[in-house]
Amino acid sequence: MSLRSPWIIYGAILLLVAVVSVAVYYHTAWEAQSGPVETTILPGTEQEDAGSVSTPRGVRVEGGEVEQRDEQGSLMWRVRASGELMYDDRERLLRGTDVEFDVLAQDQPAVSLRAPRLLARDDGKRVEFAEGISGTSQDHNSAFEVQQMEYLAEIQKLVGTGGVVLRQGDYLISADQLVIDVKNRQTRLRGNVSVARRR
Amino acid sequence: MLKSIRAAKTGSHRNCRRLIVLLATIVALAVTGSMALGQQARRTQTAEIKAAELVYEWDKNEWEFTGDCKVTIAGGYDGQITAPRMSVKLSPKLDEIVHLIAHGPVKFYFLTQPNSEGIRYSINASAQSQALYREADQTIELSGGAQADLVAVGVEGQTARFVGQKITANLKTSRLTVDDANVKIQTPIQN
Repeated sequence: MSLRSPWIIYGAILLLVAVVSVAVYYHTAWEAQSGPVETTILPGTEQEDAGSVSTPRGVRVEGGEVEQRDEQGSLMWRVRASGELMYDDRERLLRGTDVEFDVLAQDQPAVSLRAPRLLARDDGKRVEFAEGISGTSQDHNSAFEVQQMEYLAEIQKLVGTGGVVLRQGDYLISADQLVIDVKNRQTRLRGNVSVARRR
Repeated sequence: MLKSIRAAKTGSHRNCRRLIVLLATIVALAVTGSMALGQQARRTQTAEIKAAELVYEWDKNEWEFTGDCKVTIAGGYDGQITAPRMSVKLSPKLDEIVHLIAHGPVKFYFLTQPNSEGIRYSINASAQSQALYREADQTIELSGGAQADLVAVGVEGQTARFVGQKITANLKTSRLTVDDANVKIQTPIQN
C-alpha cells in the first residue's frame, strides 16, 4: 500500500462528514419552515370568542374600525373613529373619540350616529355615547339629537336622554327620552312630548 | 350730424338702462312680496300636540299619543282638543297631518273668528267616543254622546246647547252642524 492511501481515506471521511452535516442542516431548516410556530401568548388574548376585541394591551389606533358580530356571525354594529380607538386591556373597555356608529339590521345600517365619545365593554353588549350625539334613522327622514345615549345590543335598542330633539319631515318633536327599537322598527318618545311644525 | 346721431344713441342707451333697472326692481319686489305672502299663508294654521308618550311605527307612518294628550290649533281662531289617547295619520312625505283621531272621552274648545258684527263665539264641546280632525278641510267631528255649548263672547244671554250623536265644527266657516234626531236646544240664541 502506498503512502497516499490513508489521505484518501481521510478525505473520504471528511467528505462524508460534510455531506451529512449539510443534509442535517437543510432537513432542520425545512422542518422549521413547515412546522407550527410557537408564539408568546399576550395576556387577554388567550381566547378569541365572538364578542371580544382581541387587541394587545393599550393599543391605540387612529382612524380605526371595530365590528361586533353575533353568534351566527351577522354584523350587529360597527364603529369608525376619525379620532382614536383605544382598547384598555386592564378594564376590558374600548374607548373612542369622534366616532361614527352604525346599528345594523340584516346587514344594512338602520341607525347611524356621530358622537364625541364612545365606551364599549369587550362583550359588545352595551355601548355608551356621551357629550352630544346626532344621528339619523332609516325610518323616513328622521334625524335626532341627544346629550347621552346607550345601545343595548341584545335587544337592539338605542336609549337617549338629555335635550332630546327628533326631526321628522316637517315636524319638530322634543321629549325627555328617546328610544329607537331597531328590532321592532319603532321610535318611542317619553316625558313632556311636544310636536310642532318646523315651518 | 354725427354728433346728433351719437347723442341720440347715448340717449337711447341711457333709457334702456333705466328701463332694465326699473324692470329688475319690479321683478325683485314681486318675488319678495310673493315669498312674504307665501310664508304668511304657511304660518296661518299651526297645530301643536303635547302628550306623555309618543310611538311612531316606521312602516305605518302613524303617531300614537298617550297620556293627557292635547292638540292646540291656532290661526285666526283658537281650538283645543284633549283626550287620553290620540292617533295621527301623516302624509307620506311627513309634511302634513292627514287626520287626527282623539279617542274618548274627548273635550273640544273652539273660539270662532269674529262674524260680520264682530261677535266671536266660544264653543265647549265633548264626546264619549271620539273626535276626528281633518286638517285639509279644517273640520272636527265629535261622535258618540256629543254635546256642545255655544256662547257669544261679551254678549249677555246668547247661549245655546246642542246634544246629538254627531256634531261637526267647521273651523274655517265657524259653522256647527248637529246630525241626529235627538237635537236639543236648551237655551235659544237671543238676537
